[in-house]
This record gives sequence, structure tokens and C-alpha cells, in this order.
Amino acid sequence: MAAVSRCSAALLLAALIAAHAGSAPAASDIAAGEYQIKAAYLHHFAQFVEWPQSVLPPGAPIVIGLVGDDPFGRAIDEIAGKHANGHPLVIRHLRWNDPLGGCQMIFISSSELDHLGAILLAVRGFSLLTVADVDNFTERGGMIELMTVQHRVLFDINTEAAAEGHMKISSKLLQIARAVRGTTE
Amino acid sequence: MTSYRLSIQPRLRLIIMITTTIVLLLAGAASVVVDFISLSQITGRDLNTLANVIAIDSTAPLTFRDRDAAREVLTSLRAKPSVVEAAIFDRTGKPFVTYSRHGSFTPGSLSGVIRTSHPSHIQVFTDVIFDGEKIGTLYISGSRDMVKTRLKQYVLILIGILAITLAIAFVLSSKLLKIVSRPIAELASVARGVTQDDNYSLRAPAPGTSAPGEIADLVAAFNQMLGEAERHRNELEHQVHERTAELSVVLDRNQAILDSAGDGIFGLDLDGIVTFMNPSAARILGSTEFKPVGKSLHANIHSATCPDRTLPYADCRVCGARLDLPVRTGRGKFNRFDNTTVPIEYTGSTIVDASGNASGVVVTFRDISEQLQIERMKDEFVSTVSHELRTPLTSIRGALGLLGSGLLGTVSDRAQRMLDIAVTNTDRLVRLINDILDLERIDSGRVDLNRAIVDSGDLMIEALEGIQPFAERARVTVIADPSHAGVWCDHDRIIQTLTNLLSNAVKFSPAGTTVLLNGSAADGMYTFAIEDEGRGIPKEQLENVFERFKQVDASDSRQKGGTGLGLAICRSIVAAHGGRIWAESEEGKGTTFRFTVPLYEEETIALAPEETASPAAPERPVVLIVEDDVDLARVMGASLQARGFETRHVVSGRSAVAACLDEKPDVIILDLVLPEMSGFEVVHWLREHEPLAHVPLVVYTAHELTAADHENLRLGPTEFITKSRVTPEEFEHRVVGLLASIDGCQEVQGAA
Repeated sequence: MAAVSRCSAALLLAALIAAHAGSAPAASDIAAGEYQIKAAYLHHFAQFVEWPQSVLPPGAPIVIGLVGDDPFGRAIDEIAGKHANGHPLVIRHLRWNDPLGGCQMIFISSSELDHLGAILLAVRGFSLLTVADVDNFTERGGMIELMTVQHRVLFDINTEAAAEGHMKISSKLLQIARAVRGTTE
Repeated sequence: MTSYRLSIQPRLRLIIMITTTIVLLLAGAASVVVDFISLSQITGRDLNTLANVIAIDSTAPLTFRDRDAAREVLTSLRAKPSVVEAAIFDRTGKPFVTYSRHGSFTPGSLSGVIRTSHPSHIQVFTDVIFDGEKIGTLYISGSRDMVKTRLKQYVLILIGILAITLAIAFVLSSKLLKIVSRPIAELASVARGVTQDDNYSLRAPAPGTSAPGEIADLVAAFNQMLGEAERHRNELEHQVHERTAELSVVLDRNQAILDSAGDGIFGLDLDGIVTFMNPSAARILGSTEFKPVGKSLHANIHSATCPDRTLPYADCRVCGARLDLPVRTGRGKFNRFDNTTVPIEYTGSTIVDASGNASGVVVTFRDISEQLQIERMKDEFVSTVSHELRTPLTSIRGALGLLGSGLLGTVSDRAQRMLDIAVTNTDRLVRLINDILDLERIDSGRVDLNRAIVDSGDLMIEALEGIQPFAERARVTVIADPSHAGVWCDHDRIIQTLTNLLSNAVKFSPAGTTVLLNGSAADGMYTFAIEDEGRGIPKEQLENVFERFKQVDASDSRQKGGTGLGLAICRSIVAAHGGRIWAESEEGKGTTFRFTVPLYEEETIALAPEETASPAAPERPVVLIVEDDVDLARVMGASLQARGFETRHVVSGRSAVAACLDEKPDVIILDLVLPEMSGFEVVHWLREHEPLAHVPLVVYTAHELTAADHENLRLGPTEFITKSRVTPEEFEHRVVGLLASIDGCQEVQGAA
């Protein structure tokens, strides 16, 4: 609890700074809050990824499921209600064993490390973008793996996994990814 | 002479070159401008496209604030050399990443970059839009260097093309222009040749077939013109030759005429300067060395003793270029080389040019010395004959008069008729003799005019009264319209002239017509005019009527009872007065005779002494008649005795002197031609013997006397009476009058 409170306080601070500086968080400004940045990244990923229309008709909300403990705190509220390519973002807090069918994106918290394989297995083949900040996530079949290197939040992408779920990740995103796994064009 | 002008070829070439240059420059400039604009546009468009791509590429880096990725995106611009610098600004306008081809680029903010726009750069600003949201701005600045480089290349190419084109134009124009310019240059050189060398046989060469038609036409026309000119010139030269030949023939002929003419011929210009003279003129004037050409004839050759010489040059009958008298003839004197004079008869002809102006005078003259001598001999002969006739005629007339008057006893009626016929014919004969002698005397200048101031009106009335009986017999009315002016003339001579003209007018007037006598003064002369309504005088005879024995109709002389000398005498009298006489006539409408006499001018005239009238004469005065002609003396004696004189008669000068010594006569009637002592000697002797020196004298002679004679013959009161000029009745009257005046004078002297 004490850890949570501390984190919350830090996030609050970061959110305040971000609100003050502008709408976009400074990528290099880890001090502003790692998860504040990662929250913004979730929003941006939604922007760079194309879901099949059958899964996501125009105007339909993109549901982002946070699986496990919520590391974002208040920062996630920043992106709730924002739009990506015309789709409003909706945030849901889930357990690892909750049904994930209603989500278009899930963030698997490091708290769910034990259930990671089961979750990935469960969503395999679905048009569901998987994001986590756990090591070797992409190797294990995850799609986007967030990491912090020298105070910078970077990410790897597994296009193979995304393709299995009929999702198209924008080349621009691939361009700035630290590493891309799978077939590359 | 045309060196300072460009000839046609360089000029045309210059025009072509200038035109070419202008066209090329314009075209080049247009293409450069168009290219510049399009290049600029293309460059701008390229940059825009590039910016759009970059902007898309930079969305992800911006979104994720990945500077490395963003830098990488901008680094891709290195492939585009025209991009000088670029930058990505975040949504707040702060620079996110920058790029610069050369050196560094560190803009403060987006707005700063926008403000500091660079003119030589093309600046493109593109919004980076992602997911409907502006997330940043891309800035790319492209250099125009490429455009400039292209421009430089263009200009270089243009200059090259220009040079090449001009060279081609020069060569082509030289070749082409020759087609036009060479014929013209040749034409010009031919024209110069014609005008400078006067060579009309030159022709311009035909231009080549490549020359334009107009040039060919021009050359052909020029050559044709030259041909015409040459032909004209030749014709003209031919004509000039012909004319010159004709002229030289005429000139030679004229020269021959001049040279061979017996008469002297002078040519004068309008100033009276001698322009030429012929050999005869030199001969007459005495020497071939006499060179009057260039001198005034009037001033140098015309003798001072010639009456015309006293006139100003323009009025001179000999030399004056008078238009009123285009041709005049007369006699005068010319100075000879040796300072003597030669009498000449001249014809002065005014040369009148086509416009009617005088252009000179030709004076033709001949030596009349011999002629004058012959005339003098003739005149002397006539004079002698007349004189010799006069004395017997006077006695015949006197005797007939005495017989007719019945003083010597009555005669029968038949005898009286015969006597009347004899008197009439004797009178006529006397008139003829008197006229001849008169004319001879006046013409020879031996007559002296007894001039005085005479009133012109009185002259007219006196002449009218004298002619009236004759006019009445002819039933012709004579009217005088006298105007009064002082005329400086010899009264008797002018009366004689007027009477002559009036009787002439009456003679030739049909009965019932009128003769008008009038006059007017003008320009120092008084003009008398006698107008009749007779048959008139043909124009060609108007001058002739004043010649001796010249009458319009030869039969007139006898018919009209004239001597044929009347008008000649009139002319002589008028000429002696310095006047002029002429006739104007229209045939069938009458004739007007006019003559002029000088008006009285105070300074020239001394008053004539007045003679005082005398009362009665004493009883039976003694008259000494000195006359070698006994018959005449007898007639005179008879008539004077009838008047109550005592007469003595002597026949010689010596006996006259003796008679005077015996008895002092009251009057001496003296003939001049006497045996032993002449009348002159008698007078001379008498003058030296008082009291005979003051005896009244009547010089009664057949001779006409000069003024000098008068002086030499004057004794006491002296009368000069010419035999047969006065009737016996008048003679008696004058002798009586003379005596009466002497007595009166003596009485006056006695009373004083």
C-alpha cells in the first residue's frame, strides 16, 4: 500500500508537470513519470495500429484492458476519453482470468508475470494488441514490449504476432521501434 | 565626297545584326524568365512534396518524441542537395530536431524562423498532422542556388548562341547584301563618273540574276535615262555647233558690213559710252589710232559747236537713247583726232529690246564736208541769182505799182487788167525769191533773232488779223483762242511763222470749215497750235511736210499759190528759237500744227530800249538815194516824191560822199553794193564827218544783213530794209516814219 501511495504521489506530480508543460509528455523526461509516458504510448499505439473493420467498426470505441495491477494510477485517466483515428479510448481494469474478448488492446501488468503465457495463449489469433513492459515479451509472443533504457521509454514490436491477429502496425511506428521481430518489409 | 557616310552594305548589315541581336536577347530573356519561374516553381513544389513526406515520416518520432528517429528522418534530406536546412518543431513551436547541410542550425523557435525568412532561400513550412491533430511543424529551407546555376548556364548558352548567330548573320548578310548593294554601289560610281568626268557614254553594268527585280529595274531605268541624256546632249551639242556656225556666218557678215561700210558707225550703251566703232568712223575722225571705245561719244566726240551738244546726254538727238524719237537724222559736228571738227550727217537709232526698253544706240554718220561745200556753192548760186533777180524785180514791181496807181496818168481798162496780172505775178515771184533767200539765210545761221518779250496773245491776234482778209476770201472761219504769256522771241519771225501756218491751214481747209488758233504754256515753253478741218496728212508724210518744196500733193503748189517753202521756213525759224515744230494729223479729220517757243525768263533777258514817238516832219525834206540800179532809183524817187520828198540820186559811193558834202540830206537811202565805194565805206566816211555822222539812214539792200553788219552800218537812227521784202507802200511809210521820229527826237532835245 505504502508503495502504491508513493507511486500515486509520483504520478500525480508527473501529471501535474505534464499538464503544465503541454498535452504530450516529454519522452526523455522520465522524472515526469514512467507510467505517465507509457499511458501516452498506449494512446499512440492505438493511433498507429489498424484493426480489421469487423472487429472495430468506424466510431466504435477502442477498449484498452489493463490486466493485473494498475501501474498507471491517475495517468491512465489522461488518455481515457481521447480518440485514436476517430475511435474513443475506453479503459477497463481486468484480472488475468477475465474474458478479454471485448478489448482491442490489453496492457499486461508485470504483476501478471505468472499468467503471461496463459494470457498470450488465450488472445492468440484475436485482433487484440498486446502490450507489456516485461522482459522478453515479444519473444514470448507479445506484440509490443515497452522498456526503459537510459531514462528513455523504448519499445520492440513483434509484427508476426500482430499479423496473426489481422492487425496492421504502421510502418512509421516500426521505424521508431527499437527492434522489430517477425517479417519486416 | 560621301566618305563620311556609311554606304548601303555596312548599313544594312548593321541593321540585320542589330535586329538579330535584339531578337535573340528578347527570346533568351523570355526563356530565362520563364525557366526561372518554372524552375522556382518546380523547386518549390519539390520541396513541398518532400516536406509532406518528411512530415508524415516525422509523425511517429514526434508522437513518441524520439529525437534520434526524428533526426534520422531529417538526415534523409542529405540526399537532396538543394535542401540547406530543416527543422521539426513540436506543437509548442520549440525546435525538436534540426538539420543543416553546412554548419549548424539552431533556431530559437518556429516563429523566429518564420520571421527571419531568407530571400535567396525557398522556405517551406508544413504542419505535421497526425490523427487529425497538429503535433508539430516541419520547416525546410531550399536553396535557389540551383536556379542561379541554371540561370548562369542559360546566360552562357545564350551568349554562345548569340555569338554564333551573329557570325552566321554577318556572313550571310554579307553574301546576300552584295546582291542588293553591289548594283547600287556600281550605279553610284557610274553616276559619279558621269557627273565628274562628264562622260555620258558610261553605263551601269546589269545586276546578276540574283538581284531583286527593283534593282534590275532601277539599273535599267538609270541606263535608259543616261541614254536619253546622252542623246539630248549630243543633239544639243550638234545644235550649238550649227547655231555657232550660223552665228559666226552672221557675225562675219555683220563684221564685213561694218568694216566695209562707207559710213562711220558707233555703238553706244545706255550711258553713251562707245562700245564699238568701224574703220570708216576712225577714218572720218582722222586716225586709226583714235580709240574712242569706252569713252562717251557725247562728251568727247560730239563737237561743242553742235547745237545738240548743249542738251543733256539723254536728250541729245545724236547719242541719247531716246524712245520718243527712236530714229532721228540730222547734221552736226564731230571732233576729229587733230582737234579740228568735221561736219557730219548722222542717224541716231535707239536700240529697243523685246520688252520695249532702250538698250543702246547706234550712230551712223558720214562726212558731209564736200556735200556742204556743194550746198554752199549751190546756196551761193541761188542767193546770187535771187539777189540779182531781186533788184530788177523790185523795180518792175515799183514801176507796175506806179502805173497801176494811176499817178502817171490813166491807162485803159485792158491795160489796167494786164497791169494787175503783172503785179500779181511779180508779187508771187518776189515772194518766192524772198522765201528762198530767207530760208537760205536762216539755215546758214546768218539771221539774227531780234528777241524781246512778246505777249503770246498779242501775237495770235496780230497773226489772225493779218490772215483774216485771205480767210474771208476762202470762206474759212479763223478763230483765235488766245492765252497770254510772255514769250522770248523775235516778234516778226513768229508772226511770219504763225501767218505761214494759218494761211497754210486756210488754204487746205474746205470752204465753211473752221481753223482754230490757240496755245498753252508748259515746261518753260509756249506751244502754239493751229488746228484745221482739212483733209489731213498721211502719217508717213508728217515729217516730210517741213522739207523744201514738199507738199502732200505735188499739184498743190500751183493750185494753192504757195511757194513750197513756207513750212521749211517755219521750221527754220522755230529751230532758231530753240523750239520744235511738228504736225499731228488724222487723215480726213484735219491737221494740227504745233510749235514751241521759249517762255520769257527774267534773268536771260535785257529789256529792249523803247523808242519814242515823234510829231510832224518839216517841209519837203531831202532824201539822198544812193542806188546803182537806175531803174529802181527812179521808181523810188517817183514814189517818194509823191509823198512830198525832195530826192537826189547818185549811183556810186564816191558820188554819194560828194553829194553829202554839197548838201546835208535829211535821210540817206543807201544800197550796199555800189561801184567805187561800198555802202559800208560810205557809212564809215560819214561817221567821221560831223554833222553827217547823225544823219538818219535807210540801208536798202538785196543782201540779208547780220547783227555785225547792222553795227557797222548804223549812223543816226537807222532802218534796215531788205529789197522786195517790203511793198513799195511800206517802204515809203517807213522812210516817212524814220524822218518823223528824228524830228521828234530833235524837238525833244531842243526842248530840253
